[in-house]
Amino acid sequence: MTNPADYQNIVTQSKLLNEYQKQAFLDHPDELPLDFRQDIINLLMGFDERSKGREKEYGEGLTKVFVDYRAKLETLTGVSEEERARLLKEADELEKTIRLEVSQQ
Amino acid sequence: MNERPQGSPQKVHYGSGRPDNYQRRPELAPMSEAERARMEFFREIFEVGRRTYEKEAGDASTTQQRMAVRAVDVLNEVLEHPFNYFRHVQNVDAYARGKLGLDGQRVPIRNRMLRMFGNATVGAVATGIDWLDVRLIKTPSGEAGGPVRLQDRITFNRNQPGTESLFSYLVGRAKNFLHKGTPAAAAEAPAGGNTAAGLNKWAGAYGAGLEYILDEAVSAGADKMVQTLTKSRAGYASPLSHKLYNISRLIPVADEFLSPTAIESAFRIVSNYPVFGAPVEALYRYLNTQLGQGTPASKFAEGLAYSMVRGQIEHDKAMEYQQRQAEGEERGRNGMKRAQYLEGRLQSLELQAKVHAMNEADLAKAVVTGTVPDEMRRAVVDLIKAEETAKQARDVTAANQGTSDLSAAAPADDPEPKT
Repeated sequence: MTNPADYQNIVTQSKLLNEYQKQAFLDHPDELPLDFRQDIINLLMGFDERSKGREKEYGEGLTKVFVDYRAKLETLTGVSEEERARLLKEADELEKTIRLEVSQQ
Repeated sequence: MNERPQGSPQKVHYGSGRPDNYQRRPELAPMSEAERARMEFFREIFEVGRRTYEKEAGDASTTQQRMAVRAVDVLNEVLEHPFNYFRHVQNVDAYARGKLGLDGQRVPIRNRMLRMFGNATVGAVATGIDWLDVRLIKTPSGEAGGPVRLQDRITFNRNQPGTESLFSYLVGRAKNFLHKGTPAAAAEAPAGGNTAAGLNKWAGAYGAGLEYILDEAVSAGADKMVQTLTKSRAGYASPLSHKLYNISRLIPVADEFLSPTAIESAFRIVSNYPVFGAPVEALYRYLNTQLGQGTPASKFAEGLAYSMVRGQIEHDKAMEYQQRQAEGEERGRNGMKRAQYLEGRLQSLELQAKVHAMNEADLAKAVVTGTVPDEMRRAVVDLIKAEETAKQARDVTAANQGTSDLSAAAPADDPEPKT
């Protein structure tokens, strides 16, 4: 059980709520019942944990796609070396961009 | 390009006709293997993101719905029960604990009944073991004495009746030998290591120390149980409970059912009460912080010292008891002497009464006949013997007059018979 004193921090850092919802939940939180605050904390923290799991799953899926694509390019016949190098470089840049965007979210 | 016939309007329905400037899209060049692999690659990247987004959106929707439902529940509860005393008490309780707590946070207590039941169970088990130690370890049937504690039995404590055993006898002999120095002196001393007064000077202290060790063993068991259940290093009994237990060791009778575990369970149960338990919990935390200093060895030595002092108190009580017993025996002996004296006086009074009864008739008969009846003569002889016996008894009573309370007032009660 999380301490209700952390209610403000958890609501502020939640990935689920938008700014309007955060302001609504943080408007005089002491007047809210303790068990209600505790339930909100549990829901928000549960969603954040599951979201982290999904991010991890998404990263693993991306890694598998890129690995398979590079392996396929290596074994592909009828492709010039210049074209193969260009596609590999394009895949590297694309992966770098996607990883950067995911990390910034 | 459609040709429109002259003189007739063209009917174009929505979705079926084509604009006038419609041009067929040119045929695409066939894709190479590399292009197909590249397009497949992009499609898989999109699929991975799509699946993740669908899960994220679904989970967010579900969580938002649950939050909304919970908020509606709270709103309905407030609207239907604006005077929810239970909630108010709970909030006041959390507020009081937050204000009085050392961490300065509001900490609501949940599962109060479960906590109370668990603490009561632990305390009942600890007290039950103490009770078993005192009540169920008794002397064998037919032997004098009441309940005898385990520590009295194994520490040759002769202060308690019925504690004699082979072990205590041998240990007492060895202790006498060490104290007296010679086997002869040890043989003269009473068995069981007692002194000339019939008491072992240190037996009470040993017994109290062993009871302390028993209670500490119970406390260690409770600590181990709690550590196993909670998977943490924190035990059960706090320093405050140990301190109060040490103080309680100086109180007679209290040591028979108190232990650190029992005191701790009582503290936790009282601290669990709404509102009322908040100051108790704050005081409990504060005192525990103050008493939390010291090593386990020093705490154990402190508790043992308390117990030894308690043993000395028991020893003094036993000495006082024995002194009173000796005085009672002396008073009983004096009473027996007084009873013998009174019995002799009674016999003499009976004879006197018999002589008086015979006097008038028999004396007249003797005067008329000139002879003394044999019965009257025997009565007079018996009267003389009884007077001698009573005189001897009075002499003995006068000798013991200084030590006997009953005999002091005896002779003045009965005047000398006149025959």
